Amino acid sequence: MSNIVEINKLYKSYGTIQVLKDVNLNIKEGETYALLGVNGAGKTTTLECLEGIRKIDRGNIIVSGYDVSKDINEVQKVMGVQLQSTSLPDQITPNEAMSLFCAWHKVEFREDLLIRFGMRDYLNKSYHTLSTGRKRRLHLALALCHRPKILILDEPTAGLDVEGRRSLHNEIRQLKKENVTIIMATHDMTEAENLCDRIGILRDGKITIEGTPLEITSRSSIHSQILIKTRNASLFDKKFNDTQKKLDDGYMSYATNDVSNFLIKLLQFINEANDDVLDLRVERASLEDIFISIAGGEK
Amino acid sequence: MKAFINQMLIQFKMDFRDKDVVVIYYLVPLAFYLIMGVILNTLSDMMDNPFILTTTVFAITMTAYLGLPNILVKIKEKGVLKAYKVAGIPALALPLIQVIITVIHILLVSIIILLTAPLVFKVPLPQNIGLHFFGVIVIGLGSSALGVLLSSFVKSQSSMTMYGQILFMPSILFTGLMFPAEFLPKPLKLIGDLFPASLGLNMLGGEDFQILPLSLLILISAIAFIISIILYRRIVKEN
Repeated sequence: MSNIVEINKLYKSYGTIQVLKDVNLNIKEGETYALLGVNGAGKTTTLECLEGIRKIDRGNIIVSGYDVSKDINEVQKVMGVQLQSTSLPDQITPNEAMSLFCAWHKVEFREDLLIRFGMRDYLNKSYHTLSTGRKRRLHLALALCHRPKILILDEPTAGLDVEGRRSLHNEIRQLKKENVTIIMATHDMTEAENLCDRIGILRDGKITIEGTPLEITSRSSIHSQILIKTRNASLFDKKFNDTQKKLDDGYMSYATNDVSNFLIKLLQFINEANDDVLDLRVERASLEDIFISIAGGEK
Repeated sequence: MKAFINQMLIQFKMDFRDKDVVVIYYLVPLAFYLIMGVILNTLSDMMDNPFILTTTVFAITMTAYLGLPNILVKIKEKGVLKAYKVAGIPALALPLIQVIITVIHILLVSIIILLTAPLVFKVPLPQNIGLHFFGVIVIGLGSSALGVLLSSFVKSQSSMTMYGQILFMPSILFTGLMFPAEFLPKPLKLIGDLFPASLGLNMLGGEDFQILPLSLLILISAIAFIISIILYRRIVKEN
């Protein structure tokens, strides 16, 4: 599949503060991509450069074959955007907002989107009376009014309750099935892990690690934990390796970053000791653990 | 163009759902008109005072300096410009539409005053109604230009409440709107003379239509609009 978004050697600074330094990013059509990073890492700036609302200092951004710096009107035809902090006039109704957005995009009125995003009973309610979740859904509906190929979501579920978050996740999954390319910035690791095909972690203005959630967790230098309990507790009397730690409830814990080979050797060791495995758990380093170690969140 | 007109109609409907707009654009100016009408009737001063014109100019002043900038600052503060910009909606269309709609609101209030004043307060109609409405539009645009200019400097609604008075107070006190400008100290009168309210009263208040105040009004409006466009472009770019 071809790249629908290409960001090459992107640099952006605000005054003397260099926010992005050599950001490179390729996203394929239909892919769901999450940008992760601590506050100030440059996620929103990257997205805003991609949306064409921030002028870039160096580099180039190609969206669906168009250069964002030169053909922003063409880019906006294929791109829908839901901003992190955005608003509509207090008194506008979802019906009016949809009518306004559709008119400027020269497409027919999309009541179907309002219904799909749960606005059926709120079509003529003023924007300021809608809950945060409904406002988000309305903005998502508006972003999709011109059937964009690419959807940009900046912190789509920030501030939503569990129900609102789940419902928005379902919508994102549905859009994914419809082959919409989704690029999102998020703080929510579970969201990124569950919804996205690939993840990029931004640190100090650069994408420091990129890959599928599984690739990132398995590539990490943070060890996976192996918890094991045996019938005769044979491991309590012998030392299998230096990472061995005795836990409560008869469990023994080990740390490794080569789970398969480690398990083969450990099971062989238990077998030679004429013992049986009662319980065995492998706890991979979570995306959150890796994010904290890479993005410097612990600081 | 279709989208622009559609946005204008939506904005117009929205204004009537906004309590602040209804109060500042309609209720207060019309209350002022009624109170002034009663007071001047009592003083038997009606015939010497261009009552319809002064109350209309008061309505314009209130709408353009306290109403319009407030709406625009609210739009800026809440990030509406940014939301429109990323959606490919020309963000500058928003202040432009708001100015056009403000002038329409002003015209509606002026029609209410024009239709009711002769019946309620027995005052004469302006000699040339066409010129009267032309004047209302020009004063409305001139005052709105200053209102838009002010809104481009102010960042929050809470500050706007204060800054709105910078234009509103001199416009009603130094222009002859509340009492004859001849009673004012010369420097204050000179300041007042540059306000659209004063230029409008001079343009329409005499026996003949005056071209010089009209020319000044157009000049001031043009300068204010050009600076506003430059500043709003910058605001949209930085947003």
